[in-house]
Amino acid sequence: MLRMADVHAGYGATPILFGVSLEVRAGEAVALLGRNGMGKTTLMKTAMGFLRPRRGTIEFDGTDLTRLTPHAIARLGVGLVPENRRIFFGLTVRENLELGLSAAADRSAALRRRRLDEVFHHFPRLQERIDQPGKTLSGGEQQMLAIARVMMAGARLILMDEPTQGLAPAFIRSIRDMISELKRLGVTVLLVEQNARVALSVCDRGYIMEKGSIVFEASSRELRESPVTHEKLGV
Amino acid sequence: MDYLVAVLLPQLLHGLVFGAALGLLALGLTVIFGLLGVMNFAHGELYMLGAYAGIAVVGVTHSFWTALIVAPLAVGAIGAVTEVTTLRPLYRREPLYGLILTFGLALVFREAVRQIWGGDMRRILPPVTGSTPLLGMVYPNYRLFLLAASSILLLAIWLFFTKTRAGILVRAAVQDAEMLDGLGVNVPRVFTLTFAGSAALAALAGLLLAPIFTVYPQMGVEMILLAFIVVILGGMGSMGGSVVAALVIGLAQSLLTLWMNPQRVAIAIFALMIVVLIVRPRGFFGREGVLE
Ligand SMILES: Nc1ncnc2c1ncn2[C@@H]1O[C@H](COP(=O)(O)OP(=O)(O)O)[C@@H](O)[C@H]1O
Ligand SMILES: [Mg+2]
Repeated sequence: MLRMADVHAGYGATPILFGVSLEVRAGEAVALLGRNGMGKTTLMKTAMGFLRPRRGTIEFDGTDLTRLTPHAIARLGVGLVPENRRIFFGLTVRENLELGLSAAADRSAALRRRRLDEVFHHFPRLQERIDQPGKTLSGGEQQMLAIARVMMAGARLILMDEPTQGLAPAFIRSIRDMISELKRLGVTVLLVEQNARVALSVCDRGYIMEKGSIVFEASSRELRESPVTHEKLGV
Repeated sequence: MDYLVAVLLPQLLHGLVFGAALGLLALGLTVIFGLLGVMNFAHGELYMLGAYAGIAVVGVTHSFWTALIVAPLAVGAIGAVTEVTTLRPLYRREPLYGLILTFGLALVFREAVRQIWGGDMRRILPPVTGSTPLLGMVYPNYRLFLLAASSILLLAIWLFFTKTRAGILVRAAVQDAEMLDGLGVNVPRVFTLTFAGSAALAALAGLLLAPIFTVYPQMGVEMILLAFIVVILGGMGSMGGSVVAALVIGLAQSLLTLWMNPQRVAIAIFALMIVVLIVRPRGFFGREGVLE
């Protein structure tokens, strides 16, 4: 579904990614692990079109993404749950969710109703806070909103960047359960996590990134047991 | 009592009228600042273009009301073209480039107007004449119309930003344009339309004020200085703050002229701004300080 080959990218003149290749197949949940500053977020931003790769190809369902704008990529069915959530603080929960619908081809009242029902079914807390401004939400609730936002879009591939960062254990569990639930619903997930244990408990397989390159790839079970994981992640 | 009715009251109303129109100008400025991170130095010239476009339309149609619709649309279109052709290529650069660009655009617009219409002072006749007895005094009808029109426009703008999808998109883009794009919104188009809207609003203010002021190529320069002060006082990027600050400045300007000559009024307004910023470095409602 998503295939990156030999992707080089960076900020201005500073190269960060050095020939990354990876693949996420339809229906899979794949973990992308690595220490801080190794380029995981940069990779997500490049896939979403925030950064333009200098070299290499990124394909989604056979479409080349490297020359597309972020909104065009979102409309193809790619959803980003970004690092630090990036919800809109001045807008209410409802307005945030409706912005999520922007990527949907049809924005009919019926679709909005249906998607909102789905989201509230999974995140009843968001329904309770529907008319509250985003800035009044707790970190965990903001994370739920960021996930709900891409569900509103009906994203088929979700790029999730450290969704459990800074959350209390109860929220971490509910985010993990939500990822399994998304998988069950047929959504494909690429998950960046510092918390390797959580990531490997929901993902089928994973990659380890180091200094802008993929250095290891294995099934979740192998990754859990491999000394490489411990060496590269320091866990 | 006589002093109150004969002098203070009309001046107070003048201040409200001027403040509301200044609010229209400052709102566009503050929204563009929120979006692009630069003060649009050409904003005063868009205000000036509104008055000249109005003169042109009135010359052809002899109708101020037609001009009130056509001139803002024309200036809005100029704004859209300007944004696409000159500002858009600079978004990925530092804000300084945008600042210099808008400064240059201001010079270009001013000179273009001087070439087309010359540098003379011009007047637009008010479309409504006469006066109405009000609170024991008589007040010009056009100024009453101006107050009503500005208030309705400010209310409409508030409804736009709180109730419509387009308005919500602009607010979201002000906070995080990149993320908004990643959600599937064509953000470059939002930028263009916002710039056009802000230009149209400035033009509308220019034309609405033209019958009580004079029209000349430099007319935007004075106004933009006041509008900058309003935006800073309101709290850079805060829309509500801009409206409140515009009314405060409008009233202050108007009342101070009772006791001072124009130069001293200008100094007093600056002093007022400095005092407010010392007490509240972020202006009335700002999130980010100007002096921090
Ligand atoms: N906006 C930016 N401009 C310049 N360098 C950046 C920027 N964001 C991140 N970097 C640098 O890119 C490298 C990779 O960062 P990032 O992709 O955020 O890593 P990770 O998500 O794996 O922690 C780091 O060295 C970081 O300092
Ligand atoms: Mg990161």
